[in-house]
This record gives sequence, structure tokens and C-alpha cells, in this order.
Amino acid sequence: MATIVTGTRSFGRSDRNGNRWIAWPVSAFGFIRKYPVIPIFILALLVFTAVFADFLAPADPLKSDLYARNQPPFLFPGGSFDHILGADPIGRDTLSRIIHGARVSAVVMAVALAVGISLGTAMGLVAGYFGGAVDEIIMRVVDVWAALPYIMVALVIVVTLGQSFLVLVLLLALLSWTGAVRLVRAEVLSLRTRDYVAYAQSTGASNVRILYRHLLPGVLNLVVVTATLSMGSIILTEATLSFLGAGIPPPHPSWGSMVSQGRSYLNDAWWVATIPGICIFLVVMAGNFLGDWLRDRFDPRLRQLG
Amino acid sequence: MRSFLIRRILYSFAAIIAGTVIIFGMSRASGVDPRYLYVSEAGYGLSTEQWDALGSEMHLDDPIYVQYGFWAWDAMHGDLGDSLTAQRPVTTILKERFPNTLRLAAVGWLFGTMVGVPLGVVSAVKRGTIWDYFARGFALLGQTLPTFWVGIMAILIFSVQLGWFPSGTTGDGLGLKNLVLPSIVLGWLPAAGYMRLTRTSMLEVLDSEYVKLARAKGLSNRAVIWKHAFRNALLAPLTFSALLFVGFITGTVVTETIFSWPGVGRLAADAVFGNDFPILAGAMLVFVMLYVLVTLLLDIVYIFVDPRIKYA
Repeated sequence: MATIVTGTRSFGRSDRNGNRWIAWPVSAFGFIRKYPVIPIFILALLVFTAVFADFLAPADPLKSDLYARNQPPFLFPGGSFDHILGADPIGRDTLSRIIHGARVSAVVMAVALAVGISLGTAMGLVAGYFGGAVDEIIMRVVDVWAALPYIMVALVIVVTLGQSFLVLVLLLALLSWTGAVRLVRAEVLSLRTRDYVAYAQSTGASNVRILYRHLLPGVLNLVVVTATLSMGSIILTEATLSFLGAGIPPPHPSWGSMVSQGRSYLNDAWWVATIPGICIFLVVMAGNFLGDWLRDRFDPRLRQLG
Repeated sequence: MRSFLIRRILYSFAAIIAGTVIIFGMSRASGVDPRYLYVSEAGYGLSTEQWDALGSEMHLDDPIYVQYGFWAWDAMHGDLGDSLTAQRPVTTILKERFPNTLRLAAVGWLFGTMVGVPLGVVSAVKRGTIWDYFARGFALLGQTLPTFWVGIMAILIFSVQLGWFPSGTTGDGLGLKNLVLPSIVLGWLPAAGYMRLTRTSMLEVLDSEYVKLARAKGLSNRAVIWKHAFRNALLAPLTFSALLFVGFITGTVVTETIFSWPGVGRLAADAVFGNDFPILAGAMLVFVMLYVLVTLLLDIVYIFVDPRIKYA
């Protein structure tokens, strides 16, 4: 960290009330406690790995090196630097599979979040703004959808439509939309009674314009917080579906399916199942911490869900 | 309150109907002849007459809503078709498997509440101490570690390496020793949820005026915490129990798969590999009904626990 500052002098711009919004903490440890440095680092690493997977991976994730079957990670007896994180029972390099699995996780998460959260936000805006029958219908659909055991719906859909990237992404999008609808709708219900909305209406602004120009900016903070907090559950669900054999179709490496394959070789090659699990854990934790931090900063009222 | 109950029960029905519509809809909207979903080796060993007979049995010539009516009627009478892989009626298989699921789920849920709620109280009362950090760490790990990974690690450490608990069997009789690992793995997620909810609501209650009054009266710490604060703090976790239960069902499917527990969840997971649609449809119905029943019960319990609630 480049921000090791000794003494109590604080830097940063002051607003007109004299409050310092960016007050540098006095030590690196304080900085890490105050700002989500580690979660941002982990997520940035995920994105970086996903984008440059082809350059970063030391080997082809699908190619098996039969001489390296069941080779343990380099710190353990029998391991070598050829396969830093070891190899699985058919000799595929674990590190390369982790790196390419990061791409799967990142892409799935980004697309599912974009689709799910936009859909949820749009529905929430419409339900909150128009009210009445529209609101009633949307909210009942949300209630009933939230009352279905998601994982079973997902399994039924995957078995009938077949395993594919598109099906998986749409399923994960459907996971995150209900939460966004509820939160956005609640916020819009209070925003639409504000004077500025009435002014906009009286100047003849169309409903679409009011929703887009006047209400959407008001809920944007909320949407960002919801999206960040959904990251963890999307990654976990993607991994769970892949584990159950309903996620990314093989042989593409996904962290969930790696754990699932490694399960059969626990006695011979524990690292195959262990390492991807740690990756999932780190990313989910990073998402949750960043989400909590954003929520506390943007909207302390949401804390009650705790 | 009566109208609340009626509305609540109507909701339950709506959820069940939505579940059946999804199952039925997927069987008819998948782009292939729905008969393929009910025949294991498409075309193999079936004469044209049998194929046509299957079509008329499924009422494929009728409009879609008539088909749904017939399908739902059969489902209500316990006829969900035959399993493609086992060649036996789905209902029979579900009946065999369900008690196992119920046993594991009950113990897992019990573990979740029995650990999560007291941990939440301790962590709120001893805020900022090592106990608090321990409890928060427990909750954090429970919510971020993937259940399937925890299960595998539990088997690796406690079954394979240490040999303390068996895995992969249900054991004889009650099989308490066999229940330990799966129920802890399964109960960790609800325990984490209960811990965080109890902690938040306990902190709020401990800060309230009447708790301060109770302390000012000179009541013992124990009476203040357990008699005055705890009872009111219990409402928040109860409210969110239904939300926790959705994740719990996912946990059941995953945990049963890992521990080779012969329940409905593992049946569903196996059905994915075998493309066994009738089994999956049956398992989904079981879970939808379980969820609906549990949330309904929770809502009714809630009325009795909190007499202030008056439902319009």
C-alpha cells in the first residue's frame, strides 16, 4: 500500500461542511479495514484472469499429460514446478483449469447479473410507478417465483432444454431478479410522491421519460448494491449447478464441475477438489464484503437485513 | 386473522400450481416430442402402435390446456409416470426415498437452529469479544463456503483421514453416527443465517428502553437477556425462516448427493445425469410441497409467537 502515513494529519478534499470524505487512515492496516481493498483486489484478479486466461494459463486446460497423472502441488512430495497446483487423474494441469474456470465464472456472473438486475430494475420501476393492477400482477409473479425451490426448477429446465451456456446464464439471471424488483419497487413507491416527479408530469413528460430520467437515477445506488450482493449467490449457484452436472457442459473447466470430478479421486488427489473450492470461497466472500461495504456507504437503512 | 390464513393458503396453492405448470410446460415446450421424455431409448423396442398409444395416453392431439388438465389429474392421483432408468412408478420410488430426506432434513434444521440462535445471542451479548468474532467467523464461512465443497472436505478429513464418522451409508437403526457429518454440513447454512439474524435483532433489542429499565430494576443479567431481550429478539429470525428454507432445499440436494444419502435430493441429482424427466418432475413436486407446507406452518407459528400481530 502506498498510503502509509504517519501521524494523525488527514488528507483529502473537504466538502462545504468541512467533512472530509476521503480521510486517509494512518496505517496500511487501517486502510485495509476502512476500505474494501482485499475484495476489490480479488475481484480485479478474477476479471484480469478471465480476460487474459489464454496468456496466463501455463498449459492447455483440456490437454492431458499422462506422465503427470495425480501429480501433487509443488510444495508436496512428488510435486514439481511443471504443474504448480498439481494435475488431475488424467493429467490435466489444475492451475490452467482454475484460470480457465475463472473465465467461465466471470462471464457467467457478468451476463447473468446484467440480464437479471436490468430485468428486475425495470419491473420494479414499472410496478412502483404505475401501481394498481400492474403492480399487483408483477408482485404476485415475484412472490410465487420466490416460493419455488429454485434449484429444482433449474434442474428440470436443464434436463428438458439440455445443458448449454445460454440456458445456464438465463437460469442464473432468473435467480437474481426478484430481489431487485422488491427493493426498487419499494424505493420508487416513495420517490414517485416527490415534488420533482409531479413537476415532470405537469410539464408533460412522458412516463418513459419520467421512469428513465427522473426515477432511475434515484434507485441506481440501490441497484449497484443489490447487484454486488447478488454476485456471491450467483457464483455459488453456478458452482452448485455445475457440481450437480447441470451447469457448463463438459469438458470446459468450471470450478463447480472441477470439485465434482475431484470428489471421485479424494484418496489419490485431494487437490483436484480442494483448490477450486477455495477459489469459489474467495470470490463469494469478496462479493459479499464489497456489497456490505457499498450498502453501508450508500444506504445504511438496508442494514437491517443483516 | 382468518382472511390472512385463507389468503396464505391460496398462496400455497398458487405456488404448487406454478410448480406443476413449470414441470408440465417444460415437458411440452422443450422443442422435442414430449414422448421422448417418457421413453428411455427413443424409438428402440417400441412399435409404431405403441408410440401412437403413448401419444393418445398423453392426449397429445388435444389442446395444451386439456393436456395439462389430464396431466394434473394424474399427478393428483399419484400417477407421475414411470422412471426411465429404474422402470418403476415414480410415486413408489418417492415413497421409499422421502423418509430418508425427512430424517436428514429434520436433524440438519435442528442443528441449524440449535447452534445458530444461541450463537447469535452470545455474539450480541459479548459483542466485540473473542466469542463474537468466533460466531461471526462461523456465520461468514457458512454463507460463503460452497456446501458441496464443505461436504467433500468433511468426508476427506473426518471419514478418510481420521476415520471418526462413516460416510456413504445411512447405517442401521437410527444411524446417529452416520447422521453427524451430513447434518452438520446441511445445517451450517441455516445456522449461519440464524446466527446473523439473531445477532442483529438481539443487538437492537438490547439497546431498547425496556431492557435498560429491566437492568435499572436490578434484574440479574441472565433474566434480562433470556427473559426480556431474547423473546423479542426471536421474532426476526422466525420471519426470515422461510427465506432460509429455500437455500436449505438446495443444501439437501447437494448434501444427499455428496454423502450418497438415499433421499429425494440425490434422486433428483441422479436424474439429471440419467436425463430421467419423470423422476425429476416428481422430486420437484415433493420439494415444492415441502417448502409450501413448511412456510405455511412458520407463518402460523408466527401468529402464536407474536400476539401483537393482527393480520387484516
